[in-house]
Amino acid sequence: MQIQSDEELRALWQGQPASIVQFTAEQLRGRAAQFERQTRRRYRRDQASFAVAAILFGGAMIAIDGALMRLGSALLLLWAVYGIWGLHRYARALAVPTDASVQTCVAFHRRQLERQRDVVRGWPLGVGLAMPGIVLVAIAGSLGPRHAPWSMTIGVIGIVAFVYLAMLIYGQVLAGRWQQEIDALEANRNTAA
Amino acid sequence: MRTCHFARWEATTFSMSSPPSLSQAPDDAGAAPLERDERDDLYHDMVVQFGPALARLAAAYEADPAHREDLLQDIHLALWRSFGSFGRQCALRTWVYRVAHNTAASHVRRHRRGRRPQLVGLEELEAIANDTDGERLADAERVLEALGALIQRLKAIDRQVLLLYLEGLEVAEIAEVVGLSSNHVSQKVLRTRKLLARQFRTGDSYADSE
Repeated sequence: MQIQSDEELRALWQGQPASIVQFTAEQLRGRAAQFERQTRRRYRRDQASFAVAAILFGGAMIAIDGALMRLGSALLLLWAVYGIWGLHRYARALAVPTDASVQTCVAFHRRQLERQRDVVRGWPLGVGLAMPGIVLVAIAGSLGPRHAPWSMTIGVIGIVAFVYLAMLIYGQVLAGRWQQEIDALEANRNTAA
Repeated sequence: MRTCHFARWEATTFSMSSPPSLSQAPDDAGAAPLERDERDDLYHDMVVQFGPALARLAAAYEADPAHREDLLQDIHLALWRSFGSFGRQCALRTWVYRVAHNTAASHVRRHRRGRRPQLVGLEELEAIANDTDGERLADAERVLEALGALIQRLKAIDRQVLLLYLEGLEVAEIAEVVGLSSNHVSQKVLRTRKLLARQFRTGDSYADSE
């Protein structure tokens, strides 16, 4: 088959068999409600996880003796509360584009990329805030009445620090990739402006 | 040509003071949001006018038939929901393509992690594309197959421009959907036509049109 012109190619494209899908209003309302339920469920589940952590660390702060353990638990409690607030703030980034018609495709695309980048950039702070609490609790374990061996404490702190560092580096790399895409998009936009 | 203005809705949708409420956003927006029945009627009209185009768009964005069906459903849902705030600020066609492309681009981004296809721009694709063997493109189905494969290699914006061009939109309309200047879009369309000519041996001469 020899395509002679763009018009022919366009006609071929537009004439290809395509099944028409149509939903009833009830189906669409049902799907919208289902989607909203799913999103809310996910949001509440994540919130609940932080809430449970907050309750546990709050309880530990009161129930367990030792200034260091209490201080560590208090810091972890603050971290869990921060997590609840952070989830609340970033939950919108998880949503399917409710704003799909808000902007032109370029602006929409850019905003989605920025959101992804900002979420990744938020990792170090989000996870890093738990670090002081974890370290204090681990040290308190060795200093407390149970006297956990120091080698274990150092091991735990080492593993946590390693995971944090790896996450930090990975987050930087990912954020860099998103930023590259944003820059490429911007360069693309400005090329012929 | 009229342009779409969405600033008010944008401000409403991205307020950080409340948890996400996905059903409310579209209804809060626009100067004259449509009533429920009007929205349903508009959706029906849209399906009649643009149903096949949406199916082609979904196929162009998603090669996997199972995911394609999901994408098509997502597009329909996004459109139906968006009609709640459609106050005829712009042509229905512009609105439909904008919502559909944005939804599809989001879909691709969400599903990209596992498969990670290497997406390229029109310029890069021009550089690496080989002239297509005429024998291989012996029938229409294969031409469409090759065209689909080419589209799926493109980055989001170039893909949108190419698809809108194939759907028969004019440069100004494409610019309004995508959000680039008409100048920029016409350059992209020119590149697109060159690429298509090279890939599918169309007889047009593009050098003259520059």
